[in-house]
Amino acid sequence: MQDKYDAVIIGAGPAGSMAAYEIAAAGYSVIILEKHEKPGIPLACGEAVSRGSLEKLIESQKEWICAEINRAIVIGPDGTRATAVYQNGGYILDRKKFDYYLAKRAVGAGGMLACDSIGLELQKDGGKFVSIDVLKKGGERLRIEASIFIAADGVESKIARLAGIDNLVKVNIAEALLQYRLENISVDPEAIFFYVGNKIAPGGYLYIFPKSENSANVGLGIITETNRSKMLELLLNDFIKENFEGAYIADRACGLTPKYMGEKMFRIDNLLIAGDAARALDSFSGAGIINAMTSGRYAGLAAVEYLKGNVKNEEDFDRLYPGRFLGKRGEELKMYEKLKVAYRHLDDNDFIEVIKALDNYLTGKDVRQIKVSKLMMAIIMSRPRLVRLARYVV
Amino acid sequence: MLSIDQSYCLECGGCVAVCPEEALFLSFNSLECVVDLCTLCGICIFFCPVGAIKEKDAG
Repeated sequence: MQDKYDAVIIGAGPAGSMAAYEIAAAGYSVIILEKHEKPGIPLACGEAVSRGSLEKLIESQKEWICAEINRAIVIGPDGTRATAVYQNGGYILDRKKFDYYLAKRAVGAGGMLACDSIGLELQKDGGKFVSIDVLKKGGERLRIEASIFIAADGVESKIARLAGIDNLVKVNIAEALLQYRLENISVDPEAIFFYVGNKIAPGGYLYIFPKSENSANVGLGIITETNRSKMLELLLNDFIKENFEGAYIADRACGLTPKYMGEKMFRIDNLLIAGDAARALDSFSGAGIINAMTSGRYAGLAAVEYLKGNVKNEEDFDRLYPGRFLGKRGEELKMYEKLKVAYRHLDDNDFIEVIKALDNYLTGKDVRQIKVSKLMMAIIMSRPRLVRLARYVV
Repeated sequence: MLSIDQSYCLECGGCVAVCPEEALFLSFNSLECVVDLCTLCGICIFFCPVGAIKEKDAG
Protein backbone atom coordinates (compact mmCIF):
# COMPACT_ATOMS: atom_id res chain seq x y z
CA MET A 1 0.00 0.00 0.00
CA GLN A 2 1.41 3.38 -0.98
CA ASP A 3 0.79 6.41 1.20
CA LYS A 4 -0.51 8.65 -1.54
CA TYR A 5 -3.34 8.17 -4.05
CA ASP A 6 -5.47 10.47 -6.17
CA ALA A 7 -8.61 9.09 -4.52
CA VAL A 8 -9.45 7.02 -1.45
CA ILE A 9 -12.74 5.13 -1.24
CA ILE A 10 -14.06 3.73 2.01
CA GLY A 11 -16.10 0.56 1.51
CA ALA A 12 -15.91 -2.11 -1.20
CA GLY A 13 -19.67 -2.56 -1.69
CA PRO A 14 -21.50 -1.80 -4.95
CA ALA A 15 -21.20 1.99 -4.46
CA GLY A 16 -17.49 2.01 -3.64
CA SER A 17 -16.48 -0.42 -6.38
CA MET A 18 -18.48 1.43 -9.06
CA ALA A 19 -16.82 4.71 -8.02
CA ALA A 20 -13.36 3.11 -8.00
CA TYR A 21 -13.90 1.67 -11.46
CA GLU A 22 -14.68 5.09 -12.97
CA ILE A 23 -11.67 6.72 -11.33
CA ALA A 24 -9.27 3.92 -12.27
CA ALA A 25 -10.62 3.76 -15.84
CA ALA A 26 -9.86 7.48 -16.22
CA GLY A 27 -6.23 6.76 -15.35
CA TYR A 28 -6.09 8.04 -11.78
CA SER A 29 -4.75 6.11 -8.82
CA VAL A 30 -7.41 4.91 -6.41
CA ILE A 31 -7.56 2.64 -3.39
CA ILE A 32 -10.64 1.04 -1.81
CA LEU A 33 -10.43 0.40 1.92
CA GLU A 34 -12.54 -2.56 2.99
CA LYS A 35 -13.01 -3.38 6.65
CA HIS A 36 -13.65 -7.09 6.13
CA GLU A 37 -11.30 -9.74 4.83
CA LYS A 38 -13.08 -9.65 1.47
CA PRO A 39 -15.92 -7.74 -0.22
CA GLY A 40 -19.49 -9.03 0.05
CA ILE A 41 -19.55 -10.04 3.71
CA PRO A 42 -21.51 -9.92 5.92
CA LEU A 43 -24.78 -9.99 3.99
CA ALA A 44 -27.33 -7.30 4.86
CA CYS A 45 -29.55 -7.45 1.82
CA GLY A 46 -32.56 -9.16 0.21
CA GLU A 47 -30.49 -9.46 -2.98
CA ALA A 48 -33.31 -8.54 -5.40
CA VAL A 49 -32.57 -6.16 -8.24
CA SER A 50 -34.32 -4.84 -11.34
CA ARG A 51 -32.71 -6.32 -14.42
CA GLY A 52 -33.25 -3.32 -16.69
CA SER A 53 -31.69 -0.90 -14.21
CA LEU A 54 -28.77 -3.22 -13.52
CA GLU A 55 -27.96 -3.76 -17.16
CA LYS A 56 -27.78 -0.02 -17.77
CA LEU A 57 -24.82 -0.08 -15.38
CA ILE A 58 -22.99 -3.36 -16.00
CA GLU A 59 -23.27 -6.52 -18.07
CA SER A 60 -24.95 -9.41 -16.28
CA GLN A 61 -22.83 -12.42 -15.38
CA LYS A 62 -24.28 -15.89 -14.81
CA GLU A 63 -21.94 -16.49 -11.87
CA TRP A 64 -23.81 -14.08 -9.58
CA ILE A 65 -27.41 -14.60 -10.70
CA CYS A 66 -29.34 -17.03 -8.51
CA ALA A 67 -32.81 -16.64 -9.99
CA GLU A 68 -34.56 -14.76 -12.78
CA ILE A 69 -37.84 -13.15 -11.78
CA ASN A 70 -40.88 -12.80 -14.05
CA ARG A 71 -43.60 -11.70 -11.68
CA ALA A 72 -44.29 -10.15 -8.32
CA ILE A 73 -47.27 -11.18 -6.22
CA VAL A 74 -48.71 -9.10 -3.39
CA ILE A 75 -50.81 -10.96 -0.85
CA GLY A 76 -53.17 -9.16 1.53
CA PRO A 77 -54.28 -9.97 5.06
CA ASP A 78 -57.28 -12.02 3.80
CA GLY A 79 -55.35 -13.77 1.03
CA THR A 80 -56.37 -11.31 -1.71
CA ARG A 81 -53.72 -11.31 -4.42
CA ALA A 82 -52.45 -8.96 -7.06
CA THR A 83 -49.97 -10.20 -9.63
CA ALA A 84 -47.63 -7.93 -11.54
CA VAL A 85 -46.21 -9.61 -14.62
CA TYR A 86 -42.75 -8.38 -15.37
CA GLN A 87 -41.11 -10.55 -18.04
CA ASN A 88 -37.35 -10.76 -17.42
CA GLY A 89 -37.94 -8.09 -14.82
CA GLY A 90 -35.51 -8.92 -12.10
CA TYR A 91 -32.76 -11.00 -10.63
CA ILE A 92 -32.04 -12.41 -7.24
CA LEU A 93 -28.31 -12.02 -6.83
CA ASP A 94 -25.62 -13.81 -4.93
CA ARG A 95 -24.33 -10.68 -3.21
CA LYS A 96 -21.10 -12.32 -2.08
CA LYS A 97 -20.15 -13.12 -5.65
CA PHE A 98 -21.68 -9.90 -6.98
CA ASP A 99 -19.73 -7.60 -4.66
CA TYR A 100 -16.58 -9.58 -5.31
CA TYR A 101 -17.11 -9.24 -9.07
CA LEU A 102 -17.59 -5.47 -8.86
CA ALA A 103 -14.46 -5.05 -6.74
CA LYS A 104 -12.50 -7.23 -9.14
CA ARG A 105 -13.76 -5.10 -12.03
CA ALA A 106 -12.40 -1.97 -10.32
CA VAL A 107 -9.07 -3.70 -9.69
CA GLY A 108 -8.99 -4.84 -13.33
CA ALA A 109 -9.28 -1.20 -14.39
CA GLY A 110 -6.20 -0.36 -12.30
CA GLY A 111 -7.65 0.29 -8.83
CA MET A 112 -6.25 -1.04 -5.56
CA LEU A 113 -8.26 -2.98 -3.01
CA ALA A 114 -7.05 -3.12 0.58
CA CYS A 115 -9.05 -5.50 2.77
CA ASP A 116 -8.86 -5.77 6.57
CA SER A 117 -8.50 -1.97 6.57
CA ILE A 118 -10.71 0.42 8.52
CA GLY A 119 -10.89 4.11 7.66
CA LEU A 120 -10.67 5.71 11.08
CA GLU A 121 -10.45 9.44 10.76
CA LEU A 122 -10.10 12.16 8.14
CA GLN A 123 -7.69 15.07 8.46
CA LYS A 124 -8.53 18.49 7.12
CA ASP A 125 -6.24 21.25 5.96
CA GLY A 126 -7.33 24.56 4.42
CA GLY A 127 -11.00 23.57 4.19
CA LYS A 128 -10.26 20.31 2.41
CA PHE A 129 -9.83 16.73 3.48
CA VAL A 130 -6.22 15.79 2.84
CA SER A 131 -5.62 12.40 4.42
CA ILE A 132 -7.18 9.47 6.20
CA ASP A 133 -5.92 7.32 9.06
CA VAL A 134 -6.25 3.63 8.39
CA LEU A 135 -6.21 0.81 10.89
CA LYS A 136 -5.01 -2.55 9.58
CA LYS A 137 -6.17 -5.78 11.16
CA GLY A 138 -2.84 -6.49 12.80
CA GLY A 139 -3.10 -3.18 14.66
CA GLU A 140 -0.81 -1.22 12.33
CA ARG A 141 -1.90 2.37 11.69
CA LEU A 142 -1.00 4.37 8.65
CA ARG A 143 -1.95 7.64 7.01
CA ILE A 144 -2.92 7.86 3.34
CA GLU A 145 -2.99 11.18 1.50
CA ALA A 146 -5.41 11.87 -1.34
CA SER A 147 -7.02 14.70 -3.28
CA ILE A 148 -10.53 13.37 -3.03
CA PHE A 149 -12.39 10.92 -0.78
CA ILE A 150 -15.53 8.87 -1.28
CA ALA A 151 -17.42 7.41 1.68
CA ALA A 152 -19.32 4.31 0.61
CA ASP A 153 -19.29 2.63 3.98
CA GLY A 154 -22.90 1.56 4.21
CA VAL A 155 -25.74 2.45 6.47
CA GLU A 156 -23.56 3.01 9.54
CA SER A 157 -21.50 5.56 7.57
CA LYS A 158 -19.05 6.38 10.27
CA ILE A 159 -16.84 8.35 7.90
CA ALA A 160 -19.52 10.83 6.83
CA ARG A 161 -20.43 11.42 10.47
CA LEU A 162 -16.84 11.91 11.50
CA ALA A 163 -16.54 14.39 8.65
CA GLY A 164 -19.38 16.43 10.10
CA ILE A 165 -22.53 15.26 8.35
CA ASP A 166 -25.48 14.77 10.65
CA ASN A 167 -26.78 11.50 9.26
CA LEU A 168 -28.22 10.16 12.49
CA VAL A 169 -31.11 7.81 11.77
CA LYS A 170 -34.16 8.27 13.97
CA VAL A 171 -35.15 4.85 15.13
CA ASN A 172 -38.90 5.44 14.99
CA ILE A 173 -38.88 6.36 11.30
CA ALA A 174 -36.45 3.67 10.19
CA GLU A 175 -37.41 0.17 9.28
CA ALA A 176 -35.65 -2.74 10.92
CA LEU A 177 -35.28 -5.92 8.93
CA LEU A 178 -34.58 -9.50 9.76
CA GLN A 179 -34.01 -12.05 7.03
CA TYR A 180 -33.43 -15.77 6.95
CA ARG A 181 -32.08 -17.76 4.07
CA LEU A 182 -34.28 -20.82 4.10
CA GLU A 183 -33.31 -24.10 2.57
CA ASN A 184 -35.13 -27.40 2.16
CA ILE A 185 -38.28 -25.58 1.00
CA SER A 186 -40.23 -25.52 -2.24
CA VAL A 187 -40.72 -22.14 -3.94
CA ASP A 188 -41.56 -20.75 -7.38
CA PRO A 189 -38.11 -19.65 -8.60
CA GLU A 190 -39.59 -17.06 -10.97
CA ALA A 191 -41.80 -15.13 -8.57
CA ILE A 192 -41.23 -12.82 -5.66
CA PHE A 193 -43.92 -12.57 -2.99
CA PHE A 194 -44.86 -9.72 -0.69
CA TYR A 195 -47.19 -10.18 2.27
CA VAL A 196 -48.81 -7.12 3.81
CA GLY A 197 -51.22 -6.57 6.67
CA ASN A 198 -51.04 -5.89 10.34
CA LYS A 199 -50.94 -9.47 11.53
CA ILE A 200 -48.00 -10.64 9.43
CA ALA A 201 -46.09 -7.38 8.96
CA PRO A 202 -47.34 -4.45 11.08
CA GLY A 203 -46.40 -1.21 9.29
CA GLY A 204 -44.10 -3.01 6.86
CA TYR A 205 -43.99 -6.06 4.66
CA LEU A 206 -42.73 -9.59 4.50
CA TYR A 207 -40.99 -10.82 1.38
CA ILE A 208 -39.98 -14.10 -0.24
CA PHE A 209 -37.18 -13.80 -2.78
CA PRO A 210 -36.31 -17.20 -4.26
CA LYS A 211 -32.66 -18.13 -4.65
CA SER A 212 -33.48 -21.46 -6.32
CA GLU A 213 -36.36 -23.93 -6.38
CA ASN A 214 -35.61 -24.93 -2.83
CA SER A 215 -34.10 -21.94 -1.14
CA ALA A 216 -35.18 -18.35 -0.60
CA ASN A 217 -34.49 -15.17 1.31
CA VAL A 218 -37.47 -14.67 3.57
CA GLY A 219 -37.42 -11.37 5.37
CA LEU A 220 -39.56 -9.03 7.39
CA GLY A 221 -39.25 -5.27 7.72
CA ILE A 222 -41.37 -3.40 10.25
CA ILE A 223 -41.65 -0.17 12.14
CA THR A 224 -42.95 -0.74 15.60
CA GLU A 225 -43.07 0.91 18.97
CA THR A 226 -42.51 -2.28 20.91
CA ASN A 227 -39.28 -4.15 21.39
CA ARG A 228 -38.22 -4.71 17.87
CA SER A 229 -35.85 -7.63 18.15
CA LYS A 230 -38.32 -9.95 19.82
CA MET A 231 -41.18 -8.71 17.66
CA LEU A 232 -39.33 -9.27 14.39
CA GLU A 233 -38.12 -12.70 15.32
CA LEU A 234 -41.49 -13.86 16.66
CA LEU A 235 -43.40 -12.63 13.62
CA LEU A 236 -40.94 -14.11 11.14
CA ASN A 237 -40.78 -17.43 12.98
CA ASP A 238 -44.58 -17.63 13.05
CA PHE A 239 -44.77 -17.05 9.32
CA ILE A 240 -42.14 -19.65 8.58
CA LYS A 241 -43.72 -22.23 10.84
CA GLU A 242 -47.03 -21.75 9.06
CA ASN A 243 -45.76 -21.57 5.49
CA PHE A 244 -42.48 -23.46 5.28
CA GLU A 245 -42.68 -26.58 7.37
CA GLY A 246 -39.37 -28.39 7.64
CA ALA A 247 -37.38 -25.38 6.50
CA TYR A 248 -33.77 -25.10 7.51
CA ILE A 249 -32.40 -21.67 8.41
CA ALA A 250 -29.07 -21.60 6.58
CA ASP A 251 -28.18 -17.98 7.24
CA ARG A 252 -29.46 -14.85 8.95
CA ALA A 253 -29.07 -11.21 8.05
CA CYS A 254 -30.46 -8.01 9.44
CA GLY A 255 -30.39 -4.36 8.59
CA LEU A 256 -31.90 -0.95 8.63
CA THR A 257 -33.79 1.03 6.02
CA PRO A 258 -33.20 4.68 6.82
CA LYS A 259 -35.28 7.60 5.66
CA TYR A 260 -34.15 9.43 2.53
CA MET A 261 -32.66 12.64 3.89
CA GLY A 262 -32.10 14.74 0.78
CA GLU A 263 -29.10 16.23 -0.96
CA LYS A 264 -27.25 17.46 2.11
CA MET A 265 -26.21 13.86 2.83
CA PHE A 266 -24.16 13.49 -0.36
CA ARG A 267 -21.16 15.73 -0.04
CA ILE A 268 -19.08 17.76 2.37
CA ASP A 269 -16.18 19.61 0.73
CA ASN A 270 -14.09 17.03 -1.14
CA LEU A 271 -15.70 14.04 0.57
CA LEU A 272 -18.38 12.51 -1.62
CA ILE A 273 -20.86 10.12 -0.03
CA ALA A 274 -22.56 7.36 -1.98
CA GLY A 275 -24.99 4.49 -1.56
CA ASP A 276 -26.60 3.65 1.78
CA ALA A 277 -24.10 5.96 3.47
CA ALA A 278 -25.82 8.89 1.70
CA ARG A 279 -29.25 7.39 2.47
CA ALA A 280 -29.55 6.99 -1.31
CA LEU A 281 -32.06 4.22 -1.22
CA ASP A 282 -35.72 3.71 -1.85
CA SER A 283 -36.88 3.99 1.72
CA PHE A 284 -40.27 2.46 0.92
CA SER A 285 -39.03 -0.91 -0.26
CA GLY A 286 -35.48 -0.72 1.04
CA ALA A 287 -34.13 -1.29 -2.48
CA GLY A 288 -30.59 0.00 -2.44
CA ILE A 289 -28.35 -1.88 -4.86
CA ILE A 290 -29.13 0.11 -8.00
CA ASN A 291 -29.16 3.43 -6.13
CA ALA A 292 -25.83 2.54 -4.55
CA MET A 293 -24.28 1.60 -7.90
CA THR A 294 -25.67 4.67 -9.64
CA SER A 295 -24.65 7.12 -6.93
CA GLY A 296 -21.24 5.42 -6.71
CA ARG A 297 -20.76 5.75 -10.43
CA TYR A 298 -21.67 9.45 -10.42
CA ALA A 299 -19.46 10.06 -7.40
CA GLY A 300 -16.61 8.40 -9.31
CA LEU A 301 -17.25 10.49 -12.41
CA ALA A 302 -17.40 13.68 -10.32
CA ALA A 303 -14.10 12.70 -8.65
CA VAL A 304 -12.52 12.36 -12.09
CA GLU A 305 -13.66 15.88 -13.06
CA TYR A 306 -12.29 17.15 -9.76
CA LEU A 307 -8.93 15.47 -10.37
CA LYS A 308 -8.83 16.93 -13.87
CA GLY A 309 -9.20 20.37 -12.32
CA ASN A 310 -12.63 20.99 -13.82
CA VAL A 311 -14.28 21.77 -10.51
CA LYS A 312 -13.74 25.46 -9.84
CA ASN A 313 -16.28 26.13 -7.11
CA GLU A 314 -19.02 24.69 -4.95
CA GLU A 315 -21.65 25.16 -7.68
CA ASP A 316 -19.59 23.08 -10.13
CA PHE A 317 -19.29 20.41 -7.49
CA ASP A 318 -23.01 20.36 -6.63
CA ARG A 319 -23.93 20.17 -10.28
CA LEU A 320 -21.70 17.12 -10.77
CA TYR A 321 -22.44 15.45 -7.48
CA PRO A 322 -25.01 14.89 -6.23
CA GLY A 323 -26.66 16.98 -8.99
CA ARG A 324 -26.33 14.41 -11.75
CA PHE A 325 -27.39 11.54 -9.54
CA LEU A 326 -30.36 13.36 -8.02
CA GLY A 327 -31.38 14.67 -11.43
CA LYS A 328 -31.97 11.05 -12.36
CA ARG A 329 -33.16 9.56 -9.09
CA GLY A 330 -33.97 12.38 -6.66
CA GLU A 331 -37.66 12.79 -7.46
CA GLU A 332 -38.23 9.08 -7.22
CA LEU A 333 -36.45 8.81 -3.88
CA LYS A 334 -38.59 11.66 -2.54
CA MET A 335 -41.76 10.04 -3.83
CA TYR A 336 -40.97 6.72 -2.16
CA GLU A 337 -40.55 8.55 1.11
CA LYS A 338 -44.09 9.99 0.71
CA LEU A 339 -45.39 6.60 -0.30
CA LYS A 340 -44.00 5.14 2.89
CA VAL A 341 -45.87 7.71 4.97
CA ALA A 342 -49.14 6.94 3.17
CA TYR A 343 -48.47 3.22 3.52
CA ARG A 344 -48.16 3.47 7.27
CA HIS A 345 -51.68 4.85 7.48
CA LEU A 346 -53.24 1.80 5.83
CA ASP A 347 -55.28 -0.62 7.91
CA ASP A 348 -56.10 -4.17 6.89
CA ASN A 349 -59.30 -3.18 5.05
CA ASP A 350 -57.34 -0.55 3.12
CA PHE A 351 -54.76 -3.16 2.16
CA ILE A 352 -57.45 -5.44 0.78
CA GLU A 353 -58.94 -2.60 -1.25
CA VAL A 354 -55.56 -1.43 -2.50
CA ILE A 355 -54.65 -4.94 -3.62
CA LYS A 356 -57.98 -5.36 -5.43
CA ALA A 357 -57.48 -2.02 -7.19
CA LEU A 358 -53.88 -2.95 -7.95
CA ASP A 359 -54.92 -6.27 -9.44
CA ASN A 360 -57.55 -4.50 -11.53
CA TYR A 361 -55.05 -1.99 -12.80
CA LEU A 362 -52.30 -4.51 -13.51
CA THR A 363 -54.37 -7.07 -15.40
CA GLY A 364 -53.10 -7.34 -18.94
CA LYS A 365 -50.26 -4.87 -18.40
CA ASP A 366 -46.54 -5.42 -18.15
CA VAL A 367 -44.95 -3.52 -15.29
CA ARG A 368 -42.60 -1.78 -17.71
CA GLN A 369 -45.52 0.25 -19.10
CA ILE A 370 -46.47 1.59 -15.69
CA LYS A 371 -45.43 4.75 -13.90
CA VAL A 372 -45.54 4.40 -10.14
CA SER A 373 -47.08 7.83 -9.60
CA LYS A 374 -49.90 7.14 -12.10
CA LEU A 375 -50.48 3.75 -10.56
CA MET A 376 -50.78 5.30 -7.10
CA MET A 377 -53.28 7.88 -8.27
CA ALA A 378 -55.32 5.22 -10.10
CA ILE A 379 -55.51 3.15 -6.93
CA ILE A 380 -56.43 6.07 -4.73
CA MET A 381 -59.07 7.35 -7.11
CA SER A 382 -60.67 3.96 -7.63
CA ARG A 383 -61.51 3.62 -3.94
CA PRO A 384 -63.29 6.50 -2.21
CA ARG A 385 -62.04 5.27 1.16
CA LEU A 386 -58.49 5.83 0.04
CA VAL A 387 -58.84 9.40 -1.15
CA ARG A 388 -57.85 10.61 2.31
CA LEU A 389 -54.43 9.07 1.67
CA ALA A 390 -53.88 11.27 -1.38
CA ARG A 391 -52.63 14.12 0.79
CA TYR A 392 -49.59 12.07 1.76
CA VAL A 393 -48.66 11.26 -1.81
CA VAL A 394 -49.35 14.44 -3.77
CA MET B 1 -22.81 -0.45 30.58
CA LEU B 2 -23.74 -2.14 27.34
CA SER B 3 -23.06 -5.78 26.77
CA ILE B 4 -22.76 -6.92 23.19
CA ASP B 5 -23.17 -10.56 22.31
CA GLN B 6 -20.81 -10.86 19.35
CA SER B 7 -22.12 -14.31 18.44
CA TYR B 8 -25.59 -12.83 17.84
CA CYS B 9 -24.41 -9.62 16.14
CA LEU B 10 -24.78 -9.78 12.36
CA GLU B 11 -22.83 -6.56 11.78
CA CYS B 12 -25.65 -4.80 9.94
CA GLY B 13 -24.53 -1.41 11.24
CA GLY B 14 -28.04 -0.30 12.17
CA CYS B 15 -27.16 0.46 15.79
CA VAL B 16 -24.18 2.55 14.66
CA ALA B 17 -26.51 4.60 12.43
CA VAL B 18 -29.05 5.22 15.21
CA CYS B 19 -26.61 5.93 18.07
CA PRO B 20 -26.94 9.67 18.87
CA GLU B 21 -23.64 9.72 20.78
CA GLU B 22 -21.49 8.04 18.13
CA ALA B 23 -20.49 5.56 20.77
CA LEU B 24 -20.81 2.45 18.62
CA PHE B 25 -18.28 1.34 16.07
CA LEU B 26 -18.05 -1.65 13.75
CA SER B 27 -14.54 -3.00 13.85
CA PHE B 28 -13.15 -5.85 11.74
CA ASN B 29 -15.47 -8.61 12.92
CA SER B 30 -17.03 -7.10 15.98
CA LEU B 31 -19.19 -4.32 17.30
CA GLU B 32 -17.46 -2.10 19.83
CA CYS B 33 -18.91 0.39 22.27
CA VAL B 34 -16.90 3.37 23.51
CA VAL B 35 -17.94 3.28 27.16
CA ASP B 36 -17.02 6.94 27.80
CA LEU B 37 -19.41 8.13 25.10
CA CYS B 38 -22.32 5.78 25.81
CA THR B 39 -25.14 7.34 27.83
CA LEU B 40 -27.16 4.13 28.05
CA CYS B 41 -30.07 5.78 26.22
CA GLY B 42 -31.14 2.35 25.00
CA ILE B 43 -31.87 3.28 21.38
CA CYS B 44 -29.50 0.61 20.04
CA ILE B 45 -31.03 -2.02 22.32
CA PHE B 46 -34.46 -1.04 21.00
CA PHE B 47 -33.31 -1.12 17.41
CA CYS B 48 -31.19 -4.29 17.20
CA PRO B 49 -33.14 -6.77 15.05
CA VAL B 50 -31.47 -9.78 16.66
CA GLY B 51 -31.29 -8.70 20.29
CA ALA B 52 -27.50 -8.74 20.42
CA ILE B 53 -27.22 -5.66 22.64
CA LYS B 54 -28.23 -5.66 26.29
CA GLU B 55 -27.72 -3.48 29.30
CA LYS B 56 -25.42 -5.01 31.85
CA ASP B 57 -25.35 -3.89 35.49
CA ALA B 58 -22.09 -2.24 36.41
CA GLY B 59 -22.06 -3.86 39.85
